Amino acid sequence: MFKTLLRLLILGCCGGFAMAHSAERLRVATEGAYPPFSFTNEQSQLAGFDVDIAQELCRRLEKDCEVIAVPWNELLPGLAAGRYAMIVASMAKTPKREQQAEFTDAYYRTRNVFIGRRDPRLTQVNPETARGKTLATQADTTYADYLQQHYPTATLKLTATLTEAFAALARGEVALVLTDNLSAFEFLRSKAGQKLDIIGPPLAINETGEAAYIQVRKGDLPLRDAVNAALRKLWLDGTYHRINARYFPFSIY
Amino acid sequence: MYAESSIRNENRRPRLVPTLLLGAIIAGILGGVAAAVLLMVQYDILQLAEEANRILLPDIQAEVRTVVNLERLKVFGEIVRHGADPVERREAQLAAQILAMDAVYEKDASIKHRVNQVYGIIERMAAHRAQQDAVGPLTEPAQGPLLDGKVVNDWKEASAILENLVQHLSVDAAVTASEGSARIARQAKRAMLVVVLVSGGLALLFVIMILFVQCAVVRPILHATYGLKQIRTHPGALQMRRERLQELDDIAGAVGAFGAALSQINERTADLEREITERQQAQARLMELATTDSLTGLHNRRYFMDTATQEFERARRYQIPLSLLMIDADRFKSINDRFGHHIGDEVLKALAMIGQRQLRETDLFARLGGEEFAILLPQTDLADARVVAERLRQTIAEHTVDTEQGLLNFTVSLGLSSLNPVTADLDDLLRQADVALYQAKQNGRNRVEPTLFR
Repeated sequence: MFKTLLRLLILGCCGGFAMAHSAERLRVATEGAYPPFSFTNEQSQLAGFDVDIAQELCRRLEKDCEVIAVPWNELLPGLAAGRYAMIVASMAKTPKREQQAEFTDAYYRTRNVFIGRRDPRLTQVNPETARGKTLATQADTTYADYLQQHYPTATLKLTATLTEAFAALARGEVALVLTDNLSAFEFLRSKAGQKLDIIGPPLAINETGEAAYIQVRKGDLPLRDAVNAALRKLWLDGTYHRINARYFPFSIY
Repeated sequence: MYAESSIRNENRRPRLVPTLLLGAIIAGILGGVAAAVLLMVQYDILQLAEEANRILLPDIQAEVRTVVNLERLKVFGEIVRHGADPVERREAQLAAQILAMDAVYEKDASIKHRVNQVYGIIERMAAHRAQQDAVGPLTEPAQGPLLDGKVVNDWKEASAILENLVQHLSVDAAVTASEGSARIARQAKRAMLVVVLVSGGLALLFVIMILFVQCAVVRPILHATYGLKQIRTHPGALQMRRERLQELDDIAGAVGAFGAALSQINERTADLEREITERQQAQARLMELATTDSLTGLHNRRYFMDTATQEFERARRYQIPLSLLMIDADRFKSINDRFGHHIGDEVLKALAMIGQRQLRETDLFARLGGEEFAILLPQTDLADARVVAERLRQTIAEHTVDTEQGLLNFTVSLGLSSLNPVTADLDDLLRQADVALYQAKQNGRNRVEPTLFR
């Protein structure tokens, strides 16, 4: 009697699990305004390195993927609120963010650079040389925190997206933009960036290392571990390198 | 018996529980050692596997990245060196610049240094190309003469450096990974060997312990049981052998000792039985001697007095009639004198024989001494006693004794008394009978004279 009950229970659980498994959609949030990692292409579809990685991860996790664009400053609150299970949005790791979400292993690495108009007098950017200049970067980022903390001498323009900061730089409204060297590379090689350059050596602004991580809900360790395993598989079977090659002529891992 | 038990105690033997405990401890130690070895091996395997995932894979990934990017750096340098399109050259230089920045992540400081060195050369080449672009359009193919010799040589050197780095890098991690998996396989084999050896050892130990229990415990118990059964039939023949374990040796010893003791007891019992029988016979003989007159085979005076006293008491208590006859052979002294004691004895024997033949079972006939006899007649009053006495007197008088010296007739005188209210005790009754006997003698012998009440 007990055995029969137990068997039924196990069957029920397995059945339920299997059904949930096949039917479950995995909602993944990205920013959608951070080329080449996430952006809206000519067909008005989300595209980019982060989007491709998200979709490949979903495939490895055997789930239907739904990648949605969420404004940068709403990404973590939305995750906590349960609107999606995972964020793939080139997010750096900070102690404050780690309190809000579980971080996976890093999925690419960057350095932080200033970009601006080539100027022989400005070979190095520091609070002295930046005095009186207008500096732009995306709001609510580690860059914004860094500028607010170290560049009181400069005027800061914090934009909702990095694309807006680049546009302001292209229009000459700001002198310098602080960003990662990969998005900088993408912008500098675009038409709008032809007259611009990386100014000075890279900055060390984040003691936890300058890398991008995927986030899952706080406490969702099974998903975190599954994503880590899937990331390793992506790298080992060459998928990662193919995606990498779509956006960069070198390895960013 | 004591000697044997002390011999058994002298050479001590292993005891059952400590011996089994020893087996269990050996098994425990074996199991413990195996568990420890297995745990160590498993831990090592786990560490290796963990290492493969957490350290080795990231290392491989980093090396691959380094190799790829070093090769890319060379390509970017070539584009800067030979590329016709300034936009393309600029992009290549930017990419090279980013790779130079990323070199900060390299673990190997020399790689970081070399990459920065190479990027310096690429930057200088780019500057030269930009200068030339400013001077005028390209007139010659993008080869040597376009740039000054130093930069070209520097780039050749840089290319060689990159080539060298790549070739050295591409092996380490893979070799480590391969070695790691080989070590895992070795450890797994070792674990398997340990499992096989230990389970074999434990099985062997188990079999040995079962055999040991069979030989050292079960068989001795069966022996002892069989021995105990044997004791009933042949206690003397029981032979118990020495056993391996002290406890069972003690049991065997106890059974043996029990058999020996039982055998001794049996012997003693037989002896005692014999002795008792002999004593009973001796006692019966003594009793007979004490209560019997050797000449006539009649009861003697002592027996007569004891029994008569009891009879007298009973008769008086229950008021049952009781009579007493005193008999005396007439002129016995002259028979003795004339024919000798031998003939006198014959006469007495004849008297006893005739009396025994005529009297009832309950009548008590005894020789009181010499030629004097007494007969106690229970439940017989004076009149009946007188009939008995008269018949006895007559029978004796008519009897002829056949002796060596010819046929002989003799007579007896009888004094008769009966229990009456004035009789005080047995002595009184005897005295009365004596008086009557005396009267019979006085009145001429060969007659019965009852007691006369006055």
